[in-house]
Amino acid sequence: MKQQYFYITILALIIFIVSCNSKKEIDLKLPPYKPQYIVECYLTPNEPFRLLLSQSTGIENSIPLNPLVLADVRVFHKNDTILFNDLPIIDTNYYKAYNYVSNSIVEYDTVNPYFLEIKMRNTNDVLRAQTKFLKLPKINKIGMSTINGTDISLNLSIDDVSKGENNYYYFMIIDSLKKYDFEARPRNSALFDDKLITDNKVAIYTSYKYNEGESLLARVYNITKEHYDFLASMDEAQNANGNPFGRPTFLVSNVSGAIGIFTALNFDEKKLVVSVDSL
Amino acid sequence: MRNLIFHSILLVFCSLNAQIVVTGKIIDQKTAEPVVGVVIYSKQNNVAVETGEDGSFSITLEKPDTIKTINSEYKSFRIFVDSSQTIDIPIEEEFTELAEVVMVGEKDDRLESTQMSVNEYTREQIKEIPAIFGEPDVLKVIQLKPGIQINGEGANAIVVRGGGPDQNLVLLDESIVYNPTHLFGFFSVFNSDIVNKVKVYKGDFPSYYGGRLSSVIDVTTKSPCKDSLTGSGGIGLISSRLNLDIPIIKGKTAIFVAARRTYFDLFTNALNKANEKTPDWQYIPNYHFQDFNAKLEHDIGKKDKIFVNGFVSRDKLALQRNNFKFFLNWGNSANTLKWNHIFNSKLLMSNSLVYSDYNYTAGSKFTAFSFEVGAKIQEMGLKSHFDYEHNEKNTFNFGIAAKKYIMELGRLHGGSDSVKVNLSIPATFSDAALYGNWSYKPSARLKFESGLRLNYVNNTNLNFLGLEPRFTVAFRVSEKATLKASYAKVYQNIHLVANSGSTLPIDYWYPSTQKIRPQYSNQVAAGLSKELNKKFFFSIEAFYKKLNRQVDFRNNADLYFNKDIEKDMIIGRGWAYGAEFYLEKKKGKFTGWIGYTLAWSKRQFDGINGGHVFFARNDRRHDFSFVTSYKITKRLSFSSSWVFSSGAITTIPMGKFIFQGMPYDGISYAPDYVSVNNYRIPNYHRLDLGLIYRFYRKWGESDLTFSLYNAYGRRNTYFITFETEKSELPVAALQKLKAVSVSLFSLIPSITYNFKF
Repeated sequence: MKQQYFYITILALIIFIVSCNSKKEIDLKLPPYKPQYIVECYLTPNEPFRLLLSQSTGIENSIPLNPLVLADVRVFHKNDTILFNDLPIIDTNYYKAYNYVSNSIVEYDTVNPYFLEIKMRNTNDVLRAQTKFLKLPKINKIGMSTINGTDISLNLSIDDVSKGENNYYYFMIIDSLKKYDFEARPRNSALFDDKLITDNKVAIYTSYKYNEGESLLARVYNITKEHYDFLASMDEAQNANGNPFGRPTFLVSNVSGAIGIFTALNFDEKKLVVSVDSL
Repeated sequence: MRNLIFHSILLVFCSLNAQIVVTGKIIDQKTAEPVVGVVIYSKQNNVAVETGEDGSFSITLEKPDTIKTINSEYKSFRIFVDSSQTIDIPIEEEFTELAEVVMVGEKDDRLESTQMSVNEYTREQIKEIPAIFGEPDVLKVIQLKPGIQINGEGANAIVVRGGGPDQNLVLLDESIVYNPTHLFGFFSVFNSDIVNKVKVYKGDFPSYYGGRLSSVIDVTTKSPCKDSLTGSGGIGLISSRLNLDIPIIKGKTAIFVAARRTYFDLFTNALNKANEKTPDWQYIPNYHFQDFNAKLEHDIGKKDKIFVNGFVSRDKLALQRNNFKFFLNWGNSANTLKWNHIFNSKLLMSNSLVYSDYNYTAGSKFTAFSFEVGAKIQEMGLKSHFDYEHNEKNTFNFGIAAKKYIMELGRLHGGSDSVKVNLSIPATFSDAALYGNWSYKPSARLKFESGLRLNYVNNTNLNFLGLEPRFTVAFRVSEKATLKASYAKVYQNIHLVANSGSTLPIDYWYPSTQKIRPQYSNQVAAGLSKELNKKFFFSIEAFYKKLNRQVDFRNNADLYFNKDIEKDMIIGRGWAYGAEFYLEKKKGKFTGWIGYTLAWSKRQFDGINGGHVFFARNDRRHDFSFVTSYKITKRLSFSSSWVFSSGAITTIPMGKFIFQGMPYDGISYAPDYVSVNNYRIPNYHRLDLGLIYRFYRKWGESDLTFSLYNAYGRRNTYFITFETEKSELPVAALQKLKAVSVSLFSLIPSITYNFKF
């Protein structure tokens, strides 16, 4: 987060220096690009198994709306084999698209891992990954503070899930009453580890961007190291575009033979209404 | 060259048998400043020497003769000498008929010396070359000669013969300057008013230099005027500077103080205030830099001299909006205490105590919550150096140096009233060196120079000893041509942790440890120096450099505040090779040079690009510069520089895909970079023009300097980004991307008023 402020400030300064900052389209004349398989599969307790399998495309090409990647997808858990059907669906709760789904429901199991196997029908390529559920995180407390009575900041305290181990979290604050759409992003989201832990508690502070009466949902995920690395590398990779000071990063995938993430999600969340009176 | 340096700082007080030894100083009649680079010539004896950094000289004659001074900038001065003596010679500046100054018998030092792979610049050259915003810049000027590449728009990161920007030993009067740039590399920290001379060694490093693989940039400041109060300064578009030379004890002790500050922040503050209520006003960060130099020089007697140099630079950047505040402060200091002692005409000693540091702090504050991060390095060192001239054929220098480093690899303070975090990653280590150089001239045509440096590093679990042999041979094939060859091995004991190829103030230094051992390089070079006639000089050099134990970082490495950063470090190799061509017109009203470098720079790391060899970010196939200076009249001069360089290597995404993310995450596109350093941006070229009009007043001199940076408005690519094309698609991430080249500076005119009294 601190690096982002740094970059934003530098870029703002550079943009000022070059008030005549000029841009022009250029023809890159890039070599042919070899498409990669892309996998996104988030196991969520008590919800069906769903997966999006697609392919990357050249940077200057359009991304096809209906990625047609034919494969046999299955997940192994304990002695069960969960078969996926190639059936495009859209999860209207969160506006996520999937093209492989199963009717089976994900079980919250912190002991036995889940194994993913994807066999491509045309090429015989096989993609593999594994994951398992971690302990549930717990939001200990949410506090608010203001400096002028209108702009309000939140501070959350999270219990570190285990002492002596490295734990990784992803937190977000969402406008709970606002209708979700494709482009929406959480008002605040951050990825962090327990480096800054004090008294077994992780403290998170937001900027002053909330107003009296707003209805919010604070959600914290306890994520695996693989998921953390994937998201951190995604942030770095996306930030490096258009940033001469950024460090281009390759996505750290936990799916062998593909770029992507296969992970199990668990979270704690709390709803709140922003109120100056509660300060 | 070593002989000349030796002579230039040596005052010879005793006669050698029947020889006539004339020593003294050449000073500018008007300013009383010592003049560097004046040749003192005796025709009868066929001998010539050149004045050194403090204007001093020593010439030995076999028989009485009239000696004369020769320098294209000054009128010749003649004096008959028949006995040993010490004299100060005032010389008068020459503005007219420069072309007619006859340089009878003058020898180009570059032919005489064994030293190769070195570029030299004077304050006058630095000031004459047109600069961005009219701010004369040492680091920009040195990029104009072969072997030192033009590093893109505004950038001051110095890349020498394919090495990294962290592999340059930047010295200011013997102290290291860890970050020699202001404003993320746009300006150098060296105030041109107080610079006396800059020498850049690209290879063939004398053994008294060590610690960096690719170059030594040795900046020496002028001597303060000991006779009268003098000063200089300038008022420019973005900064002003002032330098005062203050004699304390006339003829013996003097000090100069110099300061420079930008006033960029005054404008941005006013703009921000004026637009406080403007909707969607893009707040401009406040930024300024300042630097301060001082040098005290005291002649204890004829044989002892003491110098104290101090340098401090500070950059401050701040962004404040409503309840949010971000700041970034960084700065250097470099300080030297030096004592020179002359034992006799053959032996002199120099002892120095140096202290340097670099520190940055970045932070933000949301009233209730604040955090600060930072890092620092402090270096304290002692050095004893001896020069010994055994006879005309054999000279030696040798010495010992030791340094202690105290570092903070990361600092993190943060929290609120209820929660506080105070963390630091400290590190210390030390290194030392024992060195010696022997210069041997078996005949008038042949010269050897050999050196040896023993590098020692001490850190927890590390006691490292490394031997650095250096060797040069010069063969005078004719009166006007010299062939040279050299070999040098160098160790580097500290490593820069940098987020990107650009040099940033938040980069920090990491010590050598048991796992991350000192980097080292082996470089060989061979070349020909040739005086084409009295006005033109030509040289060609070919070089091959192997870089070993190079440090880079794993993909997705966490570089900041990471106690286990060594786990993210990977070790690899590098190669750089090429040829440099240089043609200089050194005399006359019209002077200048053409430089061209053809070079390759490659790296190989097991963890990058599948272990395959790839081009380094600083690989430039062609690098060309054409620099001219024309003295139209006594008052008016014109200068220009045109540079061309192959595009820089960068990393751009070759592919992309849709990334949905977790519930509530927005849909975005993710880039697939495929490999690092996979694209070369378009070629870089630029023309800068400068015009200086001088005024001669009773109180001194002044001038108006007009400069035009990027005179034909070339839009050089600073970086490449991708923007979405307009489309009807519901999700922006699905839209087609187009590549966009972003450039920084177009044509920038500027004017600076400079004065000297």
